[in-house]
Amino acid sequence: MTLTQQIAQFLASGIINGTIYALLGLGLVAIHSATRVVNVAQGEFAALGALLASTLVTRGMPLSLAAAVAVGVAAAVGGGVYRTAIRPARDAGPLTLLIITIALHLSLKGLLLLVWGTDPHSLRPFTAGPPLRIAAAVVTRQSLWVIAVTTVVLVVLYVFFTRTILGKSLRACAVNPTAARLMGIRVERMSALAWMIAGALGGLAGVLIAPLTLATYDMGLILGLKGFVGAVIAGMASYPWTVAACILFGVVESLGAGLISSNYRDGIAFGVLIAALLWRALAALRGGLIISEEAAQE
Amino acid sequence: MTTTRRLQLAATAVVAVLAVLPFAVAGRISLGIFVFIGLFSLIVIGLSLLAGHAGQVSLGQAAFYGLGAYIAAITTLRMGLAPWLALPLAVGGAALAAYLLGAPIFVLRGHFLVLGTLGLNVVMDVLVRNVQHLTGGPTGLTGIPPLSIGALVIVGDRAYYYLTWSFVLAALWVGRNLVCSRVGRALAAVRSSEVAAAAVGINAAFYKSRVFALSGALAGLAGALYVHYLSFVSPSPFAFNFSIDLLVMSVLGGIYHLPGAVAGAAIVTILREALRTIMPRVLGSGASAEYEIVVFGLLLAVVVIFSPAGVWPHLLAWLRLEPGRSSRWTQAASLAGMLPESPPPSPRAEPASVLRLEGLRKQFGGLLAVDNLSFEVPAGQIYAIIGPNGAGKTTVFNLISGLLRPTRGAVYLRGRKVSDLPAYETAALGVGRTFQTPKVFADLTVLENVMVGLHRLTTTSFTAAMFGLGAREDAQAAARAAGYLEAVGLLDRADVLAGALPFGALRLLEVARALAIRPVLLLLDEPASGLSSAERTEVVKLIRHIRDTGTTVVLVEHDVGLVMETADRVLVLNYGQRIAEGAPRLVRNDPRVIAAYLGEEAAS
Repeated sequence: MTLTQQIAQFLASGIINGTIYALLGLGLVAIHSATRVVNVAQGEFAALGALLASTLVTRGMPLSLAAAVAVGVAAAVGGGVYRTAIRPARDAGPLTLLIITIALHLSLKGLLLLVWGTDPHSLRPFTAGPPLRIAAAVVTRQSLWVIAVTTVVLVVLYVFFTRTILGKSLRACAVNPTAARLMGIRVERMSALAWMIAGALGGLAGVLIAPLTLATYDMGLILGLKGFVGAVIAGMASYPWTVAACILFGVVESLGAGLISSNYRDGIAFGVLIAALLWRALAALRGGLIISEEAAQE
Repeated sequence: MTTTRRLQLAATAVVAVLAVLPFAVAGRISLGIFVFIGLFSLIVIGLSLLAGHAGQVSLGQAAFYGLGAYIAAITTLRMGLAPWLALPLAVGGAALAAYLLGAPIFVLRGHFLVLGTLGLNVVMDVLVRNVQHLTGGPTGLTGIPPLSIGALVIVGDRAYYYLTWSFVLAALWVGRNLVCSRVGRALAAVRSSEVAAAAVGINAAFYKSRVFALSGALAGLAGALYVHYLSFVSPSPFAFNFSIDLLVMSVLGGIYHLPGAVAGAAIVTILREALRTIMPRVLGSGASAEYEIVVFGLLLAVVVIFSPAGVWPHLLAWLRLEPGRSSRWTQAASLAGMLPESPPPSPRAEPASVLRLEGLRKQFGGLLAVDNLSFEVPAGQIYAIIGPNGAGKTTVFNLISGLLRPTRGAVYLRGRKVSDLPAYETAALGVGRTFQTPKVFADLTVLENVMVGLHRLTTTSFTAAMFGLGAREDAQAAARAAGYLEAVGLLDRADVLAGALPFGALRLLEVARALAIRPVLLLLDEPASGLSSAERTEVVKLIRHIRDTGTTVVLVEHDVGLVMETADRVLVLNYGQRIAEGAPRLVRNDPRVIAAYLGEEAAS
């Protein structure tokens, strides 16, 4: 393989990985903007979706139905987690909420381990057939599914957030919960919705990626963290920029791992995360001290 | 017997038990587990300081532990450095790494440290496994020399037991000093309200990054002791899972009480040993290490939901050792009045205007909150800003005090441009302020709140505070703070927690705290709203007194009667624009003002 071909290949796989990260990053942004919680357990939704879909298909369920069930269950788990663990502690302060999501990460991972064990589970690709050749890169059919499904989801989300009352209400809660409440929006319900959306997006990411890698109970943390990288670069606020940043990050990671050494793959990923945090901090310093949320709420 | 006396006895008993423990358990159980509890305690003390007092969570303490371990191992083994020299290098290296990571992340506020440190774990693990010529890769390094000083070689369980636990006691002492110091009060203030802390000149990121560096140093120390104790190092003890274990120890023990760190480390370590014997029997061998983390996850969830302060407070209650409300400062406060009150900032050298705004503009998205606003506040006056709701009054205060950056224009304090400074710097230059909704530091006492106001006028550094060197200055600060409390009539409630004060007293406390920074300019945001008429009369007297002692006052107020009574000049804002300015009497009759308040019809 020539260097050009290699680079084309890395670019393609970077874009595909970045698309998966984007689904996780969007969920993180949805939760963070609606409930100000940094959800360390985001990747567990993906692991759940992947494992559930693979088991259902193995048991004979049609793939499309299995995927839908897996995404639905992940969404329900997202909502359930909000109701049982986050909402009761919502007045306890951000530190407690953060520790709760860490506990959730461990508990959900443990639950997955109890049900599915340590063995990897596989899911067949959505459509069978040999890989396709696009430009200089060889791309599996599943990869195209990843990109196609994510594109559809992004369009749906865009319409949801900009054209529907529910979506606009959710955005209103993110900007100013107090004002939203005064306008008659049920902030609680919107928060639960944000967690459900995050669960669904995470579950979908898992279903999409399972045929490409394998599904294991502990796949969540690294996936979720990589979603974070993009979300942090985009300031944990903007949906479109999160997608762009995640895809860019996927490409950087893939090129870095490919051209340096795949042993360093996760090291590069989190080096980028730390660099992104530093970069945001420098930007914040330049822009001056921003009045914090506690004051903006008044 | 008083509780204090009993606490001292209990502490002495614990130290005595620690001292004889190696002899008591000799031949029955290995002392090794107690060495490890000590090592973990060191790390968890740092983590608890960070979480309980700086309000930040780190999931990277295992990485600093590993960093300390590998620095000690590599410098002694590969570079032939003497172990007693490697120890400070390991501590310093881990502290520096924490500082360099933390300092910029804390500028971001929020909870990004947890992500940065998580990433650090992964980076550290990847590096250690791959830079094999230095670290030995996955198999690690063996034959690391034990600690030695001259001919004295420290080897064996017992030696490391005593060494480690001496460090634990020292770390507890340092942590306690820090918490009870000027720095500790500043941290408590930041935890309570970062904005109010900035308004008295506290740079939150500065202190958070130092606490994080200290936590890194303690983890690095534990790591270095670990390698010299075992003479062996490999990557696996420093992985992400161990960072989780440490967090569980910290939360379980109780992040607000440093001795809880030791309790948490002991409980988790013993529990894990127990799980390692039980789990394989129940589940069969294989993934038992993985199930362990499930148990810890559930434990963490249960503790944080049902007892967020951990087991330590329960332990104290059970032993009837709850400390009473501290009145440490009462004695110091009784000295109030004995110190000459510092003179007000010299009015003679003042330029004619203390504050000048030039073409100030602030835009929030599509909303223009302040529009091309210019005015000057003459020295030694009471200057009132009035206007209908949403006129931009509080935004003007936030712009002057540095909490917001203007979109355009500038703010000058005594001729110096301050609108590009962070809020804590503006405060340090002498801009004091209160808030529309009082922001007091609820878990500090009334007196301590005012002592926080003295932050920039006191000097005990982070390092000095660690070693308990600020006591003298603290006593003086308490006395001065008591003077300010006396001025606002709150001295009799000096030892009450600020969170327990009634609303009117909160306003007065905020004024006392703002006065403590010795402001040249005091911004009062609706000082009379929500007060009873008696309290209102007191506030009017207080505001006049403040002006008469040389501080220029700018006040935002809805109570037009109060403004007319007290103000020397009045500025009227509407939709972020200046519509009138001048002596109260003139402004009151200005048709534009009447129109803004009562509508066009009333004006004509």
